[in-house]
Amino acid sequence: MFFKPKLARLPDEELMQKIHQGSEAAFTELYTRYSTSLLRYFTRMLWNNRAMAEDFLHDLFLKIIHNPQQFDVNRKFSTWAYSVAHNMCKNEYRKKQNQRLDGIDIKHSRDLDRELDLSSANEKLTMLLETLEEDDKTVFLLRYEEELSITQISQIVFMPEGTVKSRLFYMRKQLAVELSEFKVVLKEKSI
Amino acid sequence: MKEHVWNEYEVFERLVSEKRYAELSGDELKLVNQFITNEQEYDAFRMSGLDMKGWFRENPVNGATDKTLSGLKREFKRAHQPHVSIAWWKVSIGYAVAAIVFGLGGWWLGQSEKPTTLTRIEQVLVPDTIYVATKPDTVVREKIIYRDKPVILTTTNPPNETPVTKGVSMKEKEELDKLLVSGTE
Repeated sequence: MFFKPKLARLPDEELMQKIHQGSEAAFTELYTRYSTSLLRYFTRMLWNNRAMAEDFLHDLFLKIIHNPQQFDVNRKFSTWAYSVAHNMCKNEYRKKQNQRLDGIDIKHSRDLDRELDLSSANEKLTMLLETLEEDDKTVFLLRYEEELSITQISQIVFMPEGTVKSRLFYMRKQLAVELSEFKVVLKEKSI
Repeated sequence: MKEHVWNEYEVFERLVSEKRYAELSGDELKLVNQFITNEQEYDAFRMSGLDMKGWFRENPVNGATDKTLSGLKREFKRAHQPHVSIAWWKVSIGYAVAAIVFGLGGWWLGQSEKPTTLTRIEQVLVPDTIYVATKPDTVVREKIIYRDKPVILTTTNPPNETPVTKGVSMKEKEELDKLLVSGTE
């Protein structure tokens, strides 16, 4: 569009101020900007459970409706929104952790590898992502899928930037090793 | 790994995704070698990155449904509307405005009217005409009317206390005799 509507040109932080003043149009604009990426984040984090992810997204936007004053206007909105989302997921993981301690086993990638007959690198990647710890998964997804900056990620997960970088590096390294080994196995199988 | 190396991690990430090992310049090779040890490792990094991008592309998450947004909009309206009904709101505003207007009006009237000192006005008739004495043209004749007026005469002698005996006249005696003879009145 040559002429963009006024709200579409406003930064997220100003939209939040307008939401605080009761502007429904600003809320719709902010929802349009972030609903897909946040839903994607929730879906990946919550074991691809779409219904649960939609509930989490709904709850997050309810927080924006009812407590817009919680947002610090000096911060970046995306950082704040993802840190709220991260905390929501963390609580859910804690709940699951308690359930696991009650009897469900934690399965590692290699155990799963034996159980599942994986036929592609894609399936292997899905499985590898599922086995990542909650914080690592968040860091990984925010960096490589949502393409946030290292600074933003460190603010979201409350980690120093150096720690975020080292975690990303070692995750990438593990992924590279596991995928290359898996590809060798696949090649051998096909022969 | 040394701490200063992490400062260049983002550059390493970018190089891995954009260039092959053979395409790296001398400085870039130097930087990359701080993170990896050989070309195979670099290639494994690069391939895993490409696989990762492919995975994200092939496993998309569709956007939220419109139902979610419409539900949230309803909640937004509810959260931002006042708890009283519009009619009640209008009435209360009307009362408030009227009270303010009357209050201000009264204050203004009180301010504009300066206190006045009370003065007593008396009408004093001052004759401004001089009458010249004239002879009356009507003659009033006085007529003396006599009226009886009982006059109590007092005497110095006390009245005679002996009962007055009344005698019977001849005529009365005759009539009495007639009555006695006839026996009737």
